[in-house]
Amino acid sequence: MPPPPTELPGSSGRTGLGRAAMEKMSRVSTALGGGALTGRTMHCHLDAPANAISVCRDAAQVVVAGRSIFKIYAIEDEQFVEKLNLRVGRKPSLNLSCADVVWHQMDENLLATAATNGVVVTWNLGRPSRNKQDQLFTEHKRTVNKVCFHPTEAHVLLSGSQDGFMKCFDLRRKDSVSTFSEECVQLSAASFLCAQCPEAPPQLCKDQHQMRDPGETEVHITGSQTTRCLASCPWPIDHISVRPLPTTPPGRLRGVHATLEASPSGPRAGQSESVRDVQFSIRDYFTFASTFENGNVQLWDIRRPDRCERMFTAHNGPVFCCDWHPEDRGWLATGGRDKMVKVWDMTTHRAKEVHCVQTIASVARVKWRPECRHHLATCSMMVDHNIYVWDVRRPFVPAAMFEEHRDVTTGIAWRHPHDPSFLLSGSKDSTLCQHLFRDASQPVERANPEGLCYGLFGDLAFAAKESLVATESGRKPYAGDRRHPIFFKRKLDPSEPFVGLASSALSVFEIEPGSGSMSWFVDTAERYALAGRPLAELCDHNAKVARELGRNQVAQTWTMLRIIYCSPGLASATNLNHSVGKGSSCGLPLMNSFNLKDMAPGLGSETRLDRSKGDTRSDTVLLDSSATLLTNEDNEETEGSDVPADYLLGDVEGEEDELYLLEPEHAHEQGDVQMAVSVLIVLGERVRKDIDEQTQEHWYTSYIDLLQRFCLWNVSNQVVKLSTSRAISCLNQASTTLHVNCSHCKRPMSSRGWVCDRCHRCASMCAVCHHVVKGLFVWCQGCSHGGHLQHIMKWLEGSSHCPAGCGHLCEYS
Amino acid sequence: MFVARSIAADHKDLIHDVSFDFHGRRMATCSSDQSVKVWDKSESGDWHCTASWKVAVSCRENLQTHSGSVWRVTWAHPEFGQVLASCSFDRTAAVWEEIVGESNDKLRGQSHWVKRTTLVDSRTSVTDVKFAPKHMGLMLATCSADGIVRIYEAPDVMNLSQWSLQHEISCKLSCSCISWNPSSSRAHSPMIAVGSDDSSPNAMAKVQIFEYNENTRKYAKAETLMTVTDPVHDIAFAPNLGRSFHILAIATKDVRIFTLKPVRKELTSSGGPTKFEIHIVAQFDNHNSQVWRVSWNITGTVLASSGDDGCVRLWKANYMDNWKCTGILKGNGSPVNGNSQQGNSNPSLGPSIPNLQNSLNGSSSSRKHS
Repeated sequence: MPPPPTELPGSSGRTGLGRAAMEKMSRVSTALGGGALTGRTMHCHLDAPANAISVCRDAAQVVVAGRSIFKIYAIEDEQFVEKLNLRVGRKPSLNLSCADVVWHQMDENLLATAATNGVVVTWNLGRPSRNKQDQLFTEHKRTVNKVCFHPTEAHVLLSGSQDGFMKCFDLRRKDSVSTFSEECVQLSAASFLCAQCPEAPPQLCKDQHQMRDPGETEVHITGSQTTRCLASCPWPIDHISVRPLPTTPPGRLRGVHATLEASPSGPRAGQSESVRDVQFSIRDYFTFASTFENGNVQLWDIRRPDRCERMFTAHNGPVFCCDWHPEDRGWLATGGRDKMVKVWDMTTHRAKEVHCVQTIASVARVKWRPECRHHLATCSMMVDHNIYVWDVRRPFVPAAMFEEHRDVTTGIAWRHPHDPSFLLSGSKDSTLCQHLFRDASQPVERANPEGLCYGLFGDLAFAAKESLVATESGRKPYAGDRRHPIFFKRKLDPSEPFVGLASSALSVFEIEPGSGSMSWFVDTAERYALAGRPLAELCDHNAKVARELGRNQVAQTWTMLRIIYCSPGLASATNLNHSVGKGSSCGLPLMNSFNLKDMAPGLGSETRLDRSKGDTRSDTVLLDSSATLLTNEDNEETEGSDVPADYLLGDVEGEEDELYLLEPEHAHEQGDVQMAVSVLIVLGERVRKDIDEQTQEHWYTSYIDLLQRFCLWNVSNQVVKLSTSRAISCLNQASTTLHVNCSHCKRPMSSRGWVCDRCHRCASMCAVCHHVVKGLFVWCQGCSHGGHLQHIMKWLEGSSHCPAGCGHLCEYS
Repeated sequence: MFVARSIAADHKDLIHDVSFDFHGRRMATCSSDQSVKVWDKSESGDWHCTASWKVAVSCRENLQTHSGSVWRVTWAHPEFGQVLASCSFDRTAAVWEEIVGESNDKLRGQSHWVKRTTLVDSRTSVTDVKFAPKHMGLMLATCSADGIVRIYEAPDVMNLSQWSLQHEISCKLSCSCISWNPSSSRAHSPMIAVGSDDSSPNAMAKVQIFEYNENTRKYAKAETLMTVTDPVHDIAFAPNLGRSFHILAIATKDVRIFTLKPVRKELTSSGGPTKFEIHIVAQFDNHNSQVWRVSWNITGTVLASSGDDGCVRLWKANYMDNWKCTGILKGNGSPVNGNSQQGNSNPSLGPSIPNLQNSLNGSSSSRKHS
């Protein structure tokens, strides 16, 4: 497979040597793609926590390195087999405490490790002795975080260290060839223009030569909190941008806080930012990328150690890792502590962020998945032990997840550069794992694609994955839907199966007014009379209300109640149940029959007619078979005639059943709790003792809760007030104390009356009628004058000045 | 009849949950794009997004939402303020409160929400979060993929930033959904139903019911619905309006409705968990596939379910306790068949009501005559 000859503008300056090398490398990797790999998901126990792993180019061996482990394992079909322990010698040397390990991709015998004491070691497996150590470079002062071989050049090794330096080694020599440091890029000029201190002279940077790239328009440096503007302004510099001078109008520089012109003063020797990762570009022979703890990413030309080619701030906080896209596209993925993975297009003049993946923990490692252009694997160094594979086009949900590890995953590597299904990982839990992609759990698949919620008024909110909705409704497209663009977008890239940038359609199904919304409940609650009149009148009134709202069953019930409880013979409480029972047995069949007869024409629609016929039948059967009748199917309550059911749907309310039929089991079956509570209140003592106190309380709380949902506060309070259950009636007794201050002397009113003890004047006088306000008092918060709500409202119609004559323009909201 | 009102939600990925508030005037949505949105209903009935928050937009610490898919969002009772809870793939659940008085937000028609707390006890994805019924105080239950239900309580309802972990219930199975029993009756102990979407081959019962025991002050398993062995995606107790028994809807490969009748206390030995008579009263596979969501109407008489077929189906029982489908709604609002469209094709419904009255009166009078 020859490399795509697409040389993008930014790379056209590369030498012919580079291109030749690329071709060579490409051949090498193709040569590796021989037989298909086999294996299964498996793991093996290591003796110690791993810090890094690296795969041999034959895809059959893996090296595991850690603080106290350095071993090579052979990957067999069923298991890992330890092949070689490279930790030899009696006393453990710090040189063997590995922070990173890399296996050369061209030479099966060549490995390099980065030690925590700053040493870079190379290992030659071809050495005959037990100790395979080859060369030792002790040039770094602190931990070396990363080592990296040149992808095509056998002798070039790159290291990046905590001390802020990157060193390039030629393995044929004893010491480094060149040293790179972030400091080199820092400008030495000490002139600032800080947006926060306009008095500072607009001195502009004179070090024009420091602008490496003439096309570069902006370079960002993130300074530390201690770096301060030299013009003695107190603002710490957290963000510096260096711009080419002639083209930038000075005014623009003043816009943002701490956007400065120029640089920190001089090179900060020894303070340079730690290097977290270095990676040779696969595309450009001489280029490598490095990432820093301050969030920067730099691009270097290996021949130019004096300065970097390009620098940009990639992350907020340390950038722990980077990885070049294996296909020749100039994409660089970076991962940082800010939990993000960003994909940069490096081929343009300015690095352009093309994708951003939000993970759930800081990103310690990132590796592009072979053969899957948009997939990359990540693992975290804290909290999260899982390995995720993301499709960068769907940045929120991982495409796959491997959950094998019990501690932090420290190293991940795809087993073969052309096989997307095998992933190897090492972890602090001292295991080495091989994951098969097909065994991964897929959060996308398990994710719930729909949301559904019933609203208060019977409306339904429904959110569904657009593909679910779209598949069947494709015949009926409708305007204003984003579904179709996405549908087409998916088709643009047929080469790669992609589940689609999923999105959901959200809609609310609203009930048409009058057709079964909950308005009957509100109306009934507001219009029922519950007390203050004789029982017969209450029943009549409520029956009328129910009838007017089209709730005939309920109306019947009220009528029945009136008949039963207001007939002189049946009033005695002692034999109430008995007599009611008798009453029901004679009264109900009649009632039921007329009820059903009338229902059908009343509803008008044909379906209704049919349904009611059926119903009559079934009810007749009921009538014959047993005396237990349910008279109170409440079919107004069902969604009007949109309900296709071929029966009368019942919200069977409870309590009356209990009274008529002496069957408490039927009582609460389907709660029309409104009916139950209303009857309970209206009948009062007559029924109270027949019903369990706890049950009553339950009805009350349920009904009150419902009333409050509909904001029927007054009704709710009335119910609370009328209830006889102690637990309920105390509901409106809590926190009812009102503290009043005298409007004249501003001190608390201690006594109960309307006259202040201290200034002996009436507090809260109405400014309009000059009487004491004993009910609702409104006042202007500006001048504290006010009065009766009605009076003030009337007054404000005519004038906006204070009625007290204080001259204030009163404001009421 | 339903009228569909399509809302441009503008979530960048799947919406996983929608939730109405107590009064039905606000709606919250959450999505895999890691954001939560709050919608308010205007006078005209339109829904306006008044708040949307997400980590990528704002770097302010207190506004940081989840860094993973947000699975669920739920409202607290308004007595505790305008409070939302959400749970996420990022292993956290969060409690949010709306702040009033932010004038420049108000001007733009936006409200301001702050994160009050992050509950970080779970080591795996938190799959559901639900506030307890109001009478229990300000309590919150979460369940997570590692099979643990956690119950938190805010001892001081004025301080939403302090939540103490009260109970950890181990369910042994990866949990996907929970539901509090909403009954406010003193006869009913606090109860939680937990569903699992564990897809491991060993078929175990996927719905467990835990009940609070006053004596031990712990939640103990009261029941296991042995017949439900397929992954459960959603579970919902019906609002209990004075009923003595409980109705539980389950979304699994089909829709199932169970009734749980507490066996009378006198018959059971005191102190132990309540015994229930469990009956399956309905089971529908009309969705022909996975059922994802179930939701009850406010009176607990109509159940709505949604499934992989992209439809919402409404279920209702008649007085014989026969549950039947009473409507099908397509995700885009178009009716599936004539049944659910009856109301539209029959505009005579409105005028028919007075007729009903008349004929009723007439008939009853005729009865008197006869």
